[in-house]
Amino acid sequence: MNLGAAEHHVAAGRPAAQQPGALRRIEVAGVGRVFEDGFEALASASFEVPAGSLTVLVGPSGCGKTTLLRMIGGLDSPTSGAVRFLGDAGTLPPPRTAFAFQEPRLLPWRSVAANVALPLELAGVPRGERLDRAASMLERVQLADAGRRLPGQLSGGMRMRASIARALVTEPELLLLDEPFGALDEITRHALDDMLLSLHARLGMTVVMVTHSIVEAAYVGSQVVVMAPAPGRVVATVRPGFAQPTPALRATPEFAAATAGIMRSLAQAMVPAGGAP
Amino acid sequence: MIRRAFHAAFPPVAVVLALLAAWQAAVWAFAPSEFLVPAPMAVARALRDGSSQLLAAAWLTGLSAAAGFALAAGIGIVLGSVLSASRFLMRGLYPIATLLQMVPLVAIAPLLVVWCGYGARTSIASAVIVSLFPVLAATLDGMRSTDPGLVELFQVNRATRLQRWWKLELPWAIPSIVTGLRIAAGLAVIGTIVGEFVGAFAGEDAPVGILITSALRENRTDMVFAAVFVASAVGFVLFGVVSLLGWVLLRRWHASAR
Ligand SMILES: Nc1ncnc2c1ncn2[C@@H]1O[C@H](COP(=O)(O)OP(=O)(O)OP(=O)(O)O)[C@@H](O)[C@H]1O
Ligand SMILES: [Mg+2]
Repeated sequence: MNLGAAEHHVAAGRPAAQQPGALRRIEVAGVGRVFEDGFEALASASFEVPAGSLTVLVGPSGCGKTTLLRMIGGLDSPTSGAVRFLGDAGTLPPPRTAFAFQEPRLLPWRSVAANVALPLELAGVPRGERLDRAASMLERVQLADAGRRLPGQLSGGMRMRASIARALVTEPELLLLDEPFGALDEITRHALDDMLLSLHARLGMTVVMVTHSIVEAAYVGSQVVVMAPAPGRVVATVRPGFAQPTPALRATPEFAAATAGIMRSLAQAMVPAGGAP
Repeated sequence: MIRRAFHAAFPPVAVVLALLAAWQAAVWAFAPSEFLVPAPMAVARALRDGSSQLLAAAWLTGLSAAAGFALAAGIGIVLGSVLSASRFLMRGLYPIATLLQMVPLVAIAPLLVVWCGYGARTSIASAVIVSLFPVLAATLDGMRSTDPGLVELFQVNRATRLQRWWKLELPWAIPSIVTGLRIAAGLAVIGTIVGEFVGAFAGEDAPVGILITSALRENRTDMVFAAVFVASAVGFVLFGVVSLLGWVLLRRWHASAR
């Protein structure tokens, strides 16, 4: 639990890059995790997350994506290697980080607005201010009218958006998303991918997102880290590099080529003889 | 609305009326002595003739039961919260609480008189003793079943232990606590009357327990039945208040209240 909430009020609102001592990149350096039962979930994963990027972790079930994301967020510690946060002048303390879990994890007895305001409430932000901030965040995820409803009255996609609004309400420098749209149908997922991209463009935070979907990875990722299982490892880092993805992009040959590239990396890694490092 | 109330009330009312009719018929047919089994009509007469005495008794017993119930609810919820927060305390205290719950109330009721003296305090203590455990167990169970994902959410947001209890574990446990309180409501009335059997004053202002013992002494079985009826009514009111409270707290978000 080391999420650097001490800086909660210091930097709120200003783009991270303008501050002295701002985060430049996150370095995942040879990170491994052997669980207490002796299971090696992750063997030496290395890659870099540039500040302000939207980095996607993609790979088959059980390859250690959640484990890795939790270690980046400080919810778990590596048994080997390290996650470093680097600025111009060396290592920094962990940035303000927010987590959106695989499930919405909303409190069923609270209105959507009160759910979104929860992190601010726990940090002691006064009621009026936190409700204002929750309302404006709900607007950004297109839930402006749902603030007074209860989670039980929302659709799955609306709940997921509420959970993302709750993660964003603290104005994090680092947003960690664990298969945020994994449980949704493809059409809704595409719409939410576009919403995520526009939020990222407007707020400028660093995002690390886990997904099962190669299409989603190619569409939203400024960088895609491809992982393979048994033991979990990073097999390639791909940069689809679509500057401003729009829904029409999904139907283009360039996009097909990008997904094919990711698929090739995955396929190579899955061949047993293909050689674990 | 009226239709729905009618649909809800009709079956139990019909069954009760049928049973009363059968009872009255059996009394006419077999004519047992009034002392063994009074006829429903005789009980109704006792209810009418003794109404002021019965109402006063219901009021006294109701007050003791409500006080005992409120104390048990408060202690049970606080103790359950404390135990759920500490594995050590739970392992240490919960088995003891379970064992204490096995001690028969009737056996220790005379002791309560020694400790609390004659009067309402003994009845209240007796009500607390029987109704505490269901609240404690329900609170503990409810809190320990808190969704670990939500606990993690609170940890990620650096909630204090107190915030986690007040904003997560307590609301999470409310459905379970309400169930515990429903059970405790009925038990509190039973506990109160047992306490009154051994430790209440007879006289003008006698509670239900005393009314029952003195009616028995006077061979007034009809009056015993009337008093039992009144005691049940007191329990029913307490149960109703708790159910209403649960409905108010849960109706918006919990399936049990829909
Ligand atoms: N606490 C734990 N103790 C032991 N093994 C664990 C633990 N947590 C995860 N693992 C194992 O580590 C491996 C990776 O788990 P992880 O949850 O990171 O996978 P994932 O890539 O997120 O999979 P999915 O896509 O299905 O969510 C799995 O084989 C899992 O069984
Ligand atoms: Mg996972």
